[in-house]
Amino acid sequence: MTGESPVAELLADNDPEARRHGAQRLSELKGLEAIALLARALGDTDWRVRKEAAAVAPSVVPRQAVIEQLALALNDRDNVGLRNAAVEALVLIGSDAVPIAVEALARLDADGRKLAVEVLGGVPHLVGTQALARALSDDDVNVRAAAAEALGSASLAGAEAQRLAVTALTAALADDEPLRRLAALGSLTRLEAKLPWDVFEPLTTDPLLRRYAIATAGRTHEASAIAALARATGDPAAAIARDALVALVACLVAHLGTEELARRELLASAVAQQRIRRFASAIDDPLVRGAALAVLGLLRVRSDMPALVRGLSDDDVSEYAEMGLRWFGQDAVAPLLDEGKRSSPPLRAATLSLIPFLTERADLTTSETLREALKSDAPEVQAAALQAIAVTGNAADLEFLALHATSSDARVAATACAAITTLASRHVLEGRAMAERIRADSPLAVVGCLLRGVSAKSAGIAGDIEFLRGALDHDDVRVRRAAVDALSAIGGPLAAQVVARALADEERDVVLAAVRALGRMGQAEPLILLLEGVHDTAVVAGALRALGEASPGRAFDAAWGLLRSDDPMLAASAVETIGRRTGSRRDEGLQVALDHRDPGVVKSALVELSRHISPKILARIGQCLDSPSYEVRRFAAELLADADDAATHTLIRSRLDRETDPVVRDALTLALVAHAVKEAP
Amino acid sequence: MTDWGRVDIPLAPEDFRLLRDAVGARMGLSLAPSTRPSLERRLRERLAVVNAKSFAEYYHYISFDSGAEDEWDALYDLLTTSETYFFREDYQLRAFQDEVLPLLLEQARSRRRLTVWSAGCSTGEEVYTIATLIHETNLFQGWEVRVFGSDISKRSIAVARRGVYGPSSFRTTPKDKRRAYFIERPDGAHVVERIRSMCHFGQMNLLEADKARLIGRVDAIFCRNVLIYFDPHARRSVIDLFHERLYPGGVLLLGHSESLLNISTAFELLHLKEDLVYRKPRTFQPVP
Repeated sequence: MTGESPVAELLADNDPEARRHGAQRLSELKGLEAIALLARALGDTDWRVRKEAAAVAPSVVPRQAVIEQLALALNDRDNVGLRNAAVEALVLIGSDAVPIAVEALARLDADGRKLAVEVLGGVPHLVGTQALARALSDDDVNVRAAAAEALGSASLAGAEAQRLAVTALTAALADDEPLRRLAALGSLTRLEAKLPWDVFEPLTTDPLLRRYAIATAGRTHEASAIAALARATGDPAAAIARDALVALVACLVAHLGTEELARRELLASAVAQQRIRRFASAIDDPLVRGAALAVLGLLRVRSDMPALVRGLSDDDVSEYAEMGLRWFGQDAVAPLLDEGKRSSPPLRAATLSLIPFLTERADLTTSETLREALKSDAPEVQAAALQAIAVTGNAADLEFLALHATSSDARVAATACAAITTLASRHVLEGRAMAERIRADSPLAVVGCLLRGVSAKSAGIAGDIEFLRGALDHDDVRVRRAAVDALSAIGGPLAAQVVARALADEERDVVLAAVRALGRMGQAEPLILLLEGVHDTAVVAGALRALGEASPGRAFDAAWGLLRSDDPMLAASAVETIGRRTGSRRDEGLQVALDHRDPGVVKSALVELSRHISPKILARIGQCLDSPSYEVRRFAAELLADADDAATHTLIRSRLDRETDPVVRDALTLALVAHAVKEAP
Repeated sequence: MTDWGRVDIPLAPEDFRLLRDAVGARMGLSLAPSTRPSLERRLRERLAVVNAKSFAEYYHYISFDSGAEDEWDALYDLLTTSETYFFREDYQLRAFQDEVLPLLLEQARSRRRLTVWSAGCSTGEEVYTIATLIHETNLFQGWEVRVFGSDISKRSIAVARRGVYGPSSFRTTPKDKRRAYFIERPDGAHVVERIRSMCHFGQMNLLEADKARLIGRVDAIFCRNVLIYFDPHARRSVIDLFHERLYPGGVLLLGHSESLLNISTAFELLHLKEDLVYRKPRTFQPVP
């Protein structure tokens, strides 16, 4: 026995893994022993032990003594690892560490001051930002540059700190100290400062600063910047071209409608095009590869299609590939479909699903290719083709869609039915004629879908309701459901009467379809009867939603009693119903739902509340930052990002200091950034 | 009626957040705000199918309707479209074959049973690759060798079970291996029976720990390029599951850009000549 605590024994072990576990357990100790062992672990020879010790430092008590110990470590001249770990620990401790770091700026040597600057950069705070702005004039060149870099986090300390940092950094751009200018440029980028292009333009001629000036220019969002960025993608230095490319795409996304300007510049430079193509295929960085793919679409060159389609299957860049294809526009349709034919089924499905975004109406070749895709063995390809035909097809396609309405694959059959309805609603005469023609000998589900589609855009005709009444007795549940949907599209008291009959169907799917149909048809009475007499929660929830359409006032009263239901399905439907109304009782009801134990219900209520914001509502959303559910806390933080009042900002700032969940911390940080950006000069 | 003719049914930011959370809680996937247009495109097909007039309504359906299980299966297929190929990241496979398998041979000698789990196997290429690597070592003759592949997507598992592949699956496959382990037929390259018989597949959501326990204990887990798409909470729970499922001394192989650096775990690092893998310590150490 050594008499040492188990943690001390672990920290003295020869095995770094044992010492790392010892560091993890430091918070079990208190007082002098804890602080001494923390200092030992922070100075360990193994980086994993130091990292673990830094992570645990905020939970070691007493905190003030820990901070003082860490401040001493900043001045240690021998152990670099200890000094860096002390910086990391002070940053994790947060705003309590700011006063001692500010004080250290006036007391320590240049190396120590640089570390204090790093602490202040890691703990954004107005007082710290003021100290950093002063440190831009420090005697030591490295401290000055570090201060410029650290000011890049100032937006997290609020709008005032953001303004102060941007002003100080912009002034620093004007002098001739390269290191500080470089850091200032980087920080202005991080601060998302929207400075005029003429601030950066002179810097683009400086070989050292050009790259950073280009990257920062992405925020200016001025037409002249877009042109300059497009030109810079052909810069002889690959690093500059990469930054320019990423900045260009950021600019284009922020200012849709400026694509043609960028395109003209890019088409004028063969070097730029060559480089973009290389970036699209041979760069590890997904941000650069993605930006290159997006811009490739802008060039609208057919031979780039294989790269764009390959990009669709790469999760790292698929969003950019899709953006590029949308920028490619209608000209992409034919090569995209060609390339899709040569691709694996998931990829082919992805190409097909993009067609409705590229063209409103399919030409002859496109139609043939889409119909060809319907013959694929892969359900995902068939489903995507059905959807594309529904949007871009013509009346003749109805026959092709009908072939798939009875597919053995449920996904394909359901998609085909929806597609028939959509297409028939656009081709009413042909849809009606087809329904009449095939009524006797085709699957009734197809007829139901056709009638539903045509009835949505034209009055039903005598005989339809009678036909659909018969279909409600069919033994195929899909037919009965299609009949209900068609009757709801026809509308009127007689159709409603027939639909009400389907409430007694033995299949829940049909009952729910009837419930929804009655809501759309404005039939409150059968829904109220249902609410009073049924215990199936899915049907009750559906009936409540439907009643919300048929009779919002009566639905509101019915929903009130369900807000506190233990069943999330019922409570969520109540939230949805109440959220549709306006007035103080609505807000009162939604606030009741904020106390529900199910995070999904709470988030639904938050969404509804956020549609009509008032100071009182904001405060109530703010209280959700204390929810035990991290999902609710994150959601609340994201909603509060849209607010721009000082009280909300202070609230978020204070919650950030004590929030430990990384996901919620990110959301709180982004909310602070959003506030600061709104306030930015 | 949901009208596909209006392709601009918008996915509002607040509805995106609700769907993001629902997908995160159910599948572990982390959907960044930049994925909103893509999610909108992928889900539009489903709106019409389930008769939802808006994405908000669709969210309520998948979150609160007890009949939405089938819909989740469709979502798994729609949201996991990653492609893979045989012999991907070959340096890691070499490390597995040359260094990890001999270690496992010693550890599992008394059991004479070797089980490897490919978690998130997509269309199965990795599973068959692992089986060929084990087969080539000749170390486990007479053993019960099982390579189990799981994926959340039923569609992917169906492809994996079929074991028939097209050219894109062979982009880095050496010719001799293709000749040895595949039979070329008009519909594609078929995995040979001696490799197929070592491989088993099942649909599994890595967040459903109870179902994962049906696999039993395993000697090695491949989970490459899966966790990078997970949110931190899901990542944590999957890593804990892996730790629980491994025999002491069992190894976890992650993708080259993945690490457990920011996750406190009871795994230890095992330095190999060409790679780093994680190992469950032979003696128990509590997860902090």
